[in-house]
This record gives sequence, structure tokens and C-alpha cells, in this order.
Amino acid sequence: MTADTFDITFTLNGLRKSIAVRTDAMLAEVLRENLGLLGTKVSCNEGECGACTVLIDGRTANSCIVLALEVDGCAVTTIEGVAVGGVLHPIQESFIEEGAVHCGYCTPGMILSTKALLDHNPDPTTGEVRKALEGNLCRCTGYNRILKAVSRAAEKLRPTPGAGE
Amino acid sequence: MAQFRVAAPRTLDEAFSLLPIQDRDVKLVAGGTDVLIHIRAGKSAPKRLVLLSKISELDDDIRVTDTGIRIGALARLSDVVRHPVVLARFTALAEAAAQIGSEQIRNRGTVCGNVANASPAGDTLPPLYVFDAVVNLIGPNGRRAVPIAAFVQAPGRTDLAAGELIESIVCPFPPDGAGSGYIKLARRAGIDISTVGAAAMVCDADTVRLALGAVGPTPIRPLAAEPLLGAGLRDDEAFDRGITAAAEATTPISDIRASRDYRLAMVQVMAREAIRLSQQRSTSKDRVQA
Amino acid sequence: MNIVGKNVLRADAAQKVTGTHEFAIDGKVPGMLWARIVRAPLGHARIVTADTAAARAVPGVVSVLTAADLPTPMPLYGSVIADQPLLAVGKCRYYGEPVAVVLADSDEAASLGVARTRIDYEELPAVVTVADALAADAPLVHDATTAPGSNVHKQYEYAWGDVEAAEPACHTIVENTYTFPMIHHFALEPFSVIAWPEAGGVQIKSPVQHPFLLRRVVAECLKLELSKVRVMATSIGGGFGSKGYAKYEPLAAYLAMRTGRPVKISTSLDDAFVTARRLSATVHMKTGFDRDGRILLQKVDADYLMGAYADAAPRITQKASYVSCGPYRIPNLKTVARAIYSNTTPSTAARGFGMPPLNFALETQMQMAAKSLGIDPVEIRLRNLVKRGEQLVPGDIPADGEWSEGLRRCADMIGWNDPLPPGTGRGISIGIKNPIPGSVSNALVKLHADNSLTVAVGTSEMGQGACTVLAQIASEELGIPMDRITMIMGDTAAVPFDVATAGSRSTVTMGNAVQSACKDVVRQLEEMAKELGLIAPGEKLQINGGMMSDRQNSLSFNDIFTRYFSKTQGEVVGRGLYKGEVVAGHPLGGLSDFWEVIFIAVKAKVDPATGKVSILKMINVSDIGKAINPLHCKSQEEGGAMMGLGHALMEQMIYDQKGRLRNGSPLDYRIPTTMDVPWEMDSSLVENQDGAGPFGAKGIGESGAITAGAAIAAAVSDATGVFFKDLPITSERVWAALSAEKV
Repeated sequence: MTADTFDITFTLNGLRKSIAVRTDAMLAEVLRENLGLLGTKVSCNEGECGACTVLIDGRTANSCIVLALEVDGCAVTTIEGVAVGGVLHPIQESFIEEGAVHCGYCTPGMILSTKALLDHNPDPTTGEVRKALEGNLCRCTGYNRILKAVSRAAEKLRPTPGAGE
Repeated sequence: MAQFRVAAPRTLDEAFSLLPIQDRDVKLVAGGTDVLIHIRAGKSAPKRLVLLSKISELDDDIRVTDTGIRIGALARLSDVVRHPVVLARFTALAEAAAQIGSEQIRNRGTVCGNVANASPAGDTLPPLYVFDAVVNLIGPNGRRAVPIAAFVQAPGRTDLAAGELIESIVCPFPPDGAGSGYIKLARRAGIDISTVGAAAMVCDADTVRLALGAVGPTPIRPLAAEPLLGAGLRDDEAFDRGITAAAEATTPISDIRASRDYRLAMVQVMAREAIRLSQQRSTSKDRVQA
Repeated sequence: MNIVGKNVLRADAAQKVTGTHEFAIDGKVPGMLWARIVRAPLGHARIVTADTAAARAVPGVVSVLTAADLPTPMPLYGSVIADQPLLAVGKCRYYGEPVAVVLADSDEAASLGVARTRIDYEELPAVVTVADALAADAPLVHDATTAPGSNVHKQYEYAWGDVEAAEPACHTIVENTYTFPMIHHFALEPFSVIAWPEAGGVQIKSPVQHPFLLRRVVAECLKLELSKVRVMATSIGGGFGSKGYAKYEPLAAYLAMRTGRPVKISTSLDDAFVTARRLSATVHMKTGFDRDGRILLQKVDADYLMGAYADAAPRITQKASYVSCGPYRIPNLKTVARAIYSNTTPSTAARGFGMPPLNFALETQMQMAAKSLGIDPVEIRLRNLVKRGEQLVPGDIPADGEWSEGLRRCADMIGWNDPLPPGTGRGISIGIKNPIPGSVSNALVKLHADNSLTVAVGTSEMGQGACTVLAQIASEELGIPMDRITMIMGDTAAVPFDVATAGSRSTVTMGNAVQSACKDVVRQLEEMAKELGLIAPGEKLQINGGMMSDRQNSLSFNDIFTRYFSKTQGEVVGRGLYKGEVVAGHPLGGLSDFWEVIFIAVKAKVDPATGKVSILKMINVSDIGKAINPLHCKSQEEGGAMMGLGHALMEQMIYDQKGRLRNGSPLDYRIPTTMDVPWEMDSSLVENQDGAGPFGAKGIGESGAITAGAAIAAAVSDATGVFFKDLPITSERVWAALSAEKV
């Protein structure tokens, strides 16, 4: 059990993956180096900045401080899994439309934190939006447009009243 | 070439066999939000991590019992934050857990891990002190229950003996009608380590419990001051003396977050605020009942 | 206009929201070596011995190099003066200085090699503050400087009028000393560079703001011809000045040439704290006012604390102190600014280029004078603001805007005269800055046979939106839709020279170059049309939306193109040059292209018990001339203002007496989060088409960071009655000041 590698099976962006990971490898490293998913950005590497945010079973996590072997049996969503079939997710559209994307380094993590928020709480208050994103640092935008983008995304995602199934 | 090795035992017995001695080179990992951050930041370099997450006998439940709540070893901070009974009856604990790290951290980090970590600034500790929490330990020689204040001994040091781990934490229900709250001062509004934290519980217009964080080597429950503070709910002068007595029980240091002087002054402000908030809640009629 | 002035969506945004945008840190080259750096653990120390055996024994480690393994004399680099060694020689001069480098086949092996490298040091006394550096018996950071025997690298002086003679006429004199802390840029993307040897030279891929400047610095350091160094600036994940000047590129280039293999140097965000910082400063300011609040004199002594190596710091000191008058009419002025070495992280350009300490000081002086003279803070500024066309700094361009308009709008937007609840306060301030004087930008615009366009510029995309804005300018000019324009940016082998992506200059200077390259394309098309006999010689032509018309004919550019060349070949290559006004003997080398001016107003609440400051509302108004893309202008300014908010309330690098950085990590160094955003935030643009750029544009982007701190400080003062002269205004500082008041 203390071998250098560990076999894990997990769902990555909807697809089953089996892979051998170093036991000391962090999820961010496995996503980026072993699986080539470079959309997960690494910045502080100490769980402070949120650039490497992914969803594990629908909840946000800093993938730089999650051991890869811990996601054995879990469902992981990275930024690569947000736009389906090349069509941008409404959250992604909203970030673009509100001018919430500048250098883009924090953007994947921001979008995943937003997704987790709106998946669980479709109509968040401003305070709830701020609280949900407090672990995603951005030094470019000043956050104002990001907060607007989240509101816009929430609006887009809300079912239109009367629109039938 | 691994920096450290990781063991993921499936049973407690297997875990005990991997923890023969209390060893700085071995770290237990529940959510990993503290241990792994410290490794990544170069502040510790354990040789082996033992994961608790796959141990079948451990759970992540927050269970309501006849006498209180039981928080399982793997119960995550974000679940505590949202738990209706915790919110209603142990409000200070929910508030404290909500102010640890970010959503990402709270989704991984556990209450038991926060306790085991024994940081003087650990936010869940002051509420657990006011709720007279008991830490249930399990080891190769059986179980034992230790009151929280005896469990936490010094920065990073606990009563955890060789081979032991935390199985759960139990908080007895506070008296009916009690209110509680946690107040924290930090350098910014978003995620931050506490400069000073205060948890309080108030009931019956004459009982106050108070615990103060980040103002000593462990959280401080100023027991001698509590009767004065209780009397102080109806007597401003007694209250002031109680607050002064509470502050006198603390031994803050100066560090990059704040000076000792500021902490000494702020501990009084935070204590007042926490008690005031708890008192408001204790008399609130529309409180959610468990 | 069709495209200019519209909120065109960012050209690179779709890639960024899907995580497919490439950053240098994501890059790999076959056969690449990974380099990790061994750093000094003290601020100032003699390097006694280095034991690299254990590191070399790590499987995968290829070599471990210290200064002893590098050429003697050690190659030095630097943009102003070359004083920074590739690796520390003999002694380290700052905490975190590269002392050795480990090269390995994998990043993990390189990191383990770093952990296993043992270097012994003998501690030396460290210089970490201005006072330390100027003490009579101060240890010297460098043995030889321009001022031998002193840590003062250079002194700059500006004076006009007669300060002493003006003093008797003053009704009120405000005199104070202000301190501005060391601040880190905190770009999210860590420093990262890949270099590989190529045809006797070297190629470098790095997120660098100034690729051509980097090319020069690397060429000088490694004694190569400019043409042997190719710099490919990758998209920058946040720069704010930190990625302007050479950092790890000279070392990476050296290692690539030495090993004959590609070398990647990766660092962490923690490493960034020991790589670059903003200049800290102590500013002594004396300002004299007449009874009506008009400034009669100002005397400034600004001591800027550089780090252990010059980087851009001397230029920053020189350039910022040049505008120590702010936006105000000051008839008598004397400014002395010194750039001083210390044993701290090298200080480099940072959003505002040295202006924030001076602006905080001057705007606080204005605040104090207003209070002391009983004049409204908006009114006292109106009385001193220079008017359009009026001289600001003698010998430079005059005021190029109606600055009072912006100030009034800003005051209106915050509700300047609305009643304030107790415990709250309001503040307003004005930021000003000049871009890079006398600078050069070239652009190439290529029109292709299918009516698409390539625009090649040396500008780097760093999140500011240059790739969108420059394309908008070309689109407007040639009537070619945005989605048919491809930007080629920052590759010194593919694009023409540009001096820098800095100083809020690109929209104006590169924008002008792009515009003029587009006009060159049109001129060539016109000649082609005439040569083909499609338009009559001497006809007056209408150019509009990709069409060229005389009285009879209307031809699309593509008609002309395909008839002249064919549908399968040819290209019309337009060249554009912008060159700022160079003035011989001018202290900065030339004139400002424009003045970057912003107005910020803040409403703040102060908790008297804890000293905690909450920002309730923040307003940014920018004097922008013409917004090419209003949405991005506003969001850019808000980003700057939030950075300024961080500087004002929470940010500071803290050193101990041994010169060790105590909070060089995102765990301990706080920047604003979403929770720290003002509860209301709004922005507005003053557009009078009076800028030097295309369509009357001026540059923006830095100014929010320049003056947000001063506006916040003013609001806190308004709420508490106490003036703050030291940033950051932490809760503890407010509490301490209020406690002192009570005594």
C-alpha cells in the first residue's frame, strides 16, 4: 500500500479514466502533466489562489493540494469539461460579455467556482456570490466585472417562466 | 523519487499497524487542506502520509443524537456550515467553519482535522470550547474521550497518543434557548487567518460561556471571567469587569498579522461582540428549532 | 465609426474561458531540461562553501551550477545598468537571490536537487529600510556605485521658480513625511521561461512585456548580436510591470547555450516575491498655499528604496519625481529624488511606475490644506488644476484635457454633497502620469488576397486587451471585420520593433503605428488602382468601409488587390511608425505623448472599535480622450483601482532585521478578494477626442493604482478626523491612531 504508484479510476469530464499516479502526485500535476489538461492553471501551489480549482463530485477543490489518489472513484470536472461539444457554457459566455476576462490565468478556476455555486444555488445573492468566489484570486479585473458576469450567468441559466419542457 | 509516501488503509487495524509510533515523519490526512498546504509551502516535510478517507470504520456524518451532535472524523467543514441543526443549535460552530479558508478549502477540510491541527488560530476551536465538546479518540488499545480543552495542548500539539486518531467530536446540546456566535478579526474581508477570534454562548439571561482564539498558545476559555460576564448580562459594570478579566486570561504575541497590544485590545472588542450577538440570538423568538 | 467605441468582445476570451489559451508555463520543448533555482536564505551574506554532491546524485539531475561554474567575470544584466549577476558571486545581496541552479530531466528531480544542495553562508549586516541604507555606518550593498561609499545609486533634481522666495507669501504650509511600503505585483502566472539554442544564438519564450528590450539585455549579457537573440513574448498571465524587464531569461539563455539543450526555468508564486516588487519610498513634502488654497510652492524629497540590483528602479525614480507636481499648477517647485540600494527583492516597474508614493503624499497634502483652510476638497483641487493648454511641467506638453470636468463628474457620481451617516467618510483624489517619453512603435499590416488582415506588432498581450484594441483600430481604418484580422504579437523575429508594453502607451503609440500602417496599405492600393487605370489620376477619392470611390467608380480594396496581383498571390504590406518627440537634453529624453489622468472618489466606513475600514462605494472617472473599447477601458481601470485598494489597506512586504522576507507567500501577503470589493463600484469615461492616439484616444490602465490609495486615505480621514501618512492603513493603524487621539 505504500508503493510509489497507485492505480486510480475516476470520471474525468464525463469519461471514465484509469491511470497509475505517483502516490505523492497532486491532482493538478496529474491533470496537467499526465493527462495533458493544461486548462487547470497552477499558480500558488499552496491552496490559496484558486487558479487550479476543479470540481470533485460537484464541489470545488484546489487541485494543487488534493492528492491525485484521493479522486479514485470520484467525478472530476475541469475547465475542459465545461463547454460541451464546442459550445460555450452560459457562464463562459457571460464572462466574455461582461469583460470579466483579462489575462485569463484565473479564469478557468473562476468559472468552475461559479459553476459549483450556480449548480447548487441558481439564484444567489451578491453576498453569496462574493463568498463563493473568495478563494479565487484575480489581480487584473478588480472582480467587479466578474461579479456582474456571475449575475448574468445566473440569469441566463434560470429557466424562463412559461417555457415548456 | 517520491517526496513522501502515502498509505491509504482500508480499516482501522490496518491504520494502527501503520502508526506504530508518534512520529513527526508521519502525518495523518483527513481533508489534507492543512498538511498538504504545509508540505507545498515547504513548512513541513513528512516522510509518510496516512490517509483516513478510505478507512471503512470512519465516517463523514454529522449525526444528531438525543444529547447533541456527533461530527464524524471525515465530516467536511462545508457540510457543517450548512447543517440545519448545527446552524440552529451550534450557530457559533457553523459561523466559525464558514470563515475557514475558501469554499475550496471547506469542501475538503474537516472539523476533526482543524482540531487535530491545534493551531491557536484554528477557527472551529473556540466554538467547540464553548460547547464543551468532547474528542473521541480511537487507538490500538481502545477508545477514550477527552474534553476539547484537555485535548488541545499547545500550538500543533494535542493529547493524541501514539497510534491514535480522532474518531469523532461530540458536542452536547447547549441549554434550550441558548444563543451562540463567532466573531473574527482579520486583515481582509476575504479568507484570512484570524488575528483574534471569539466564540460565545449565552442562555437564561445569566449564563455566558466564552472562548478566545489566536490570543494564546491554545484557545482560551476564561472560566474565571464567565460568572462575571453572566452577571454582566444585566449589569454593565460587572460586564466590563468580566471582559477585563477575560482579556487578562489571554497571552497574545506580536506577529506579522498584529501586535500584542492590538490583540489585547481587540480580544475585548471581539468578546463583547460575540456575547452581544449570542445574547440577541438567545432571546430571538423565531430561532429555527432542531 | 463602426468598430471603434464599441464594446467589441475580447479576441482571446474564448480561448481563455475554455482553458485552451497557452501560457509559457504550459510549454514544453523536446529534449528540454528543467531548471530550478537554489536561493539565498539571508538578505546579505558571504557564500562560504557550496556542496552540490548530494544534489548531483539525485537521479535525473544533469548538473548543479554555482557561480564558480560560470564564466569569470560573471555575466551581468540589467536594463538601466548591468549590475545583476546570473548567479550570486561571493555574496548574496537579497533573500531569495539565485545562488545555484539545478538542471534535470524532470521538474521533480530539479526540485529535489534544490532541496539537497547545501550552501554555507556567513551572515552580513543587511540594509532593509531607507534609514538603514542612509545610516553613516551603513553596510554597502554594492562596493562600487555611482556614488562611492554610499548606498545612494543616483539622485535626480527638478526645480522651477524659487521655492525659498515664495515661502513668505504662503498663508498655510503643510509639511509631512509619508511612507509607502514595499508591494508585490502578485500576478497569478508565475515567472517561467524556455530558452533554446539556435544557429549560434538563442531563442527565448517568455511572458515578457518588452520583448525587444529583453532581446537587447540578453544580447548584451551574453555578448551576442541582436539578430542572434529571438524573443517570443507569450501571452502574459498578469504582469503589472513585473514582467517588463529581464528576470530569469538571461540565465535560461545562458544555460541553453551552455548545455546545447532547451532549458525551462519554472518558478512558483512564492518565488515571485523574491523576483520583483514595487519601489517603496519615504516622501517628505512641504506644500505652501495662499489664503484661497492656491499652491504657491512645493518642496519634495523622495527617497525611493530600490532592491539589491537596479533593474528599472533608477529610471522609475527619475521619471516619477519628474511629475511630483501632480496635475496642479505649482509656480515654485523643487524636487530631489534618490534611488537607494538595499538588501531586498529587486524593485522594478509596477503599475504607476513610481507615482503612487508621490501621489499619496501630494493628495494627502491637498486634503490637509483643504481642512486647514476650510475649503471643500473638490474646490481646492479645482482651484489648482491646470486648464487645457496650460503648462504643467515646464518644457513638456501642456494639459491635454478638461480635467475639471472629470473631477466634477467623479464628485457627482459619489454624491459629494449628500449627507453622510456617522462613522463614514468621503474622499476624492486625482492621479496623473506620463507615458514613456520619446518612444518608438512600429507596426506592419498585411492585406491578403482573401481580404483578411494580419497585424504584426511588438506589443504583448497581458490581459489589457491590446490584441483586441489594436485589431479594432485596423478594422475601423480598413473596413475589414474583426474576425478577419489576425494579430501577431511580441515575436522579435516576426514583428517590427516596439520599445515596451508599458506606461499605458500601447493604444496611443502602437495604435498610431497600426493606424498609419493601415493608411500605408490604402495609399498603396490607391497607387495600384491608378496604375491599373481604375481611377482617374488627380481624382479626389473617398475611402470608406473597405471601399475606394471616385465620382464614377466604387471599388473594393479586394477588387483592386485581385486585379493587381491575382486571387492566389500577392500581399499589400503597410508599414507604420510612431515616434514620440525626442528632445535633446530633456531629463527624460523627450516629451509626454499625453497625460494619463484619473479621478477616484471613495465612500468608506470605519469601525472605531477595531479600526476596520470598509469601502462602501468607489467611483473611477478616466480622462480618456476616446475609448476604443469602453467596456474594457472601464474594467481595466477598476482592476487598477482594486490594486490600489489593496495597497491602501492591506499589502506590504515585511522584512526582518536579517533581511529575510517574512510574508513572501500568498498565505501571508494579502491582496483583495471578492469579499473586499467595494459594495458599489462604478466607472465613467470622459471622452473629448483630445488624445494623441488614434481617434483622439489617450492611454489608461495604470492610474487607478496610482490614486485609489490616496482617495481611500482621504475617506478614512474624513470618517475619523485623523490623517494617515503611512500605507497600508491597516485596522491596527487606524485603531492606534484613534486610541492616540483619545489620550
